[in-house]
Amino acid sequence: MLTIADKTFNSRLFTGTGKFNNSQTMAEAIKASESELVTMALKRVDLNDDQDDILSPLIEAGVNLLPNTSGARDAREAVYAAQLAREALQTNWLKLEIHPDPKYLLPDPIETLKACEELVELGFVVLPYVHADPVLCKKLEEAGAAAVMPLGAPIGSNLGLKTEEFLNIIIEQSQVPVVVDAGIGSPSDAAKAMELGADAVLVNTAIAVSKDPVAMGIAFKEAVTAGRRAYEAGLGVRSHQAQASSPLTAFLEDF
Amino acid sequence: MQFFVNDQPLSSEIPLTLTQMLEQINQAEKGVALAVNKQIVSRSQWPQKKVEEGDRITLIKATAGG
Repeated sequence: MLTIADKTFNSRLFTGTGKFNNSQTMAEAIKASESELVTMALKRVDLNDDQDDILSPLIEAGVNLLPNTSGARDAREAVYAAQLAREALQTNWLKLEIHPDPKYLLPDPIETLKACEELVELGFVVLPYVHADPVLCKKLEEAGAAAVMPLGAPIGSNLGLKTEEFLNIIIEQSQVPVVVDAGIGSPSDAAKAMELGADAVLVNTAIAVSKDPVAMGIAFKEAVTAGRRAYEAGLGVRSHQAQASSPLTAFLEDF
Repeated sequence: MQFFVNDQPLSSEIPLTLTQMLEQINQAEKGVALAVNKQIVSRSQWPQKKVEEGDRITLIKATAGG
């Protein structure tokens, strides 16, 4: 069981709702993944054309919602977006993300820390999306973040755990749950993150853009379970030389 | 009375509360948030809070995202 703030989760796979072809596929894939925490974004309602209802199938699925502050370019905008998100979804849980540059969508560490401090004061359960920076993650923890969400690679890139060595340091040092977010492109990436000792992973694009998002949701569920089980079981030590698995007895020497 | 919702001009002959304004534009209350002149108005105040002449209302809803 994973506990973050006041909630416990059976599943260590968190999922996003973006990029699915339609909300029915999204809901089916999320159900199949058994994810219990699901991110959402906010947008301005278009009064002339707005049929998009993705909230109802998620409420029906009984998942917890994690609104994000995507679109915020600085702490001031993120705090405003957070308050709108709390009103819209009636939850004080928040994925804090501030990425001013649309090309790489890399998170702004200074504004993120500033916003985290303010949002904790305002009673939010803050899960900040950050670069895999161990020093920043400690500062966010001290500021009251409920978890930290370091990236594996840029959002939507499917590049995998490019930050592995730094994730190791973050996982070793963190007193709050570590959720590896962004860049996880395949179930093996997710399993790897869990083997490193991450408490959870957040996956969106890799499931949503698959030819069969429902099957991919299941594949990620299984990978996360396997990775976690391997971490708990304890991985063997790595060595550059062979370490015999079979007895090297000399029974063939007389042959 | 004229007011704006997400920069679109709207008008009403009669006074409206925020709840009535949402009804008028056929917007369900679930999953949305409102700010009037950039001040967020909590859901519990929508039935009382009147739309004023020239108000700039921001209407936000939850959507797909990662």
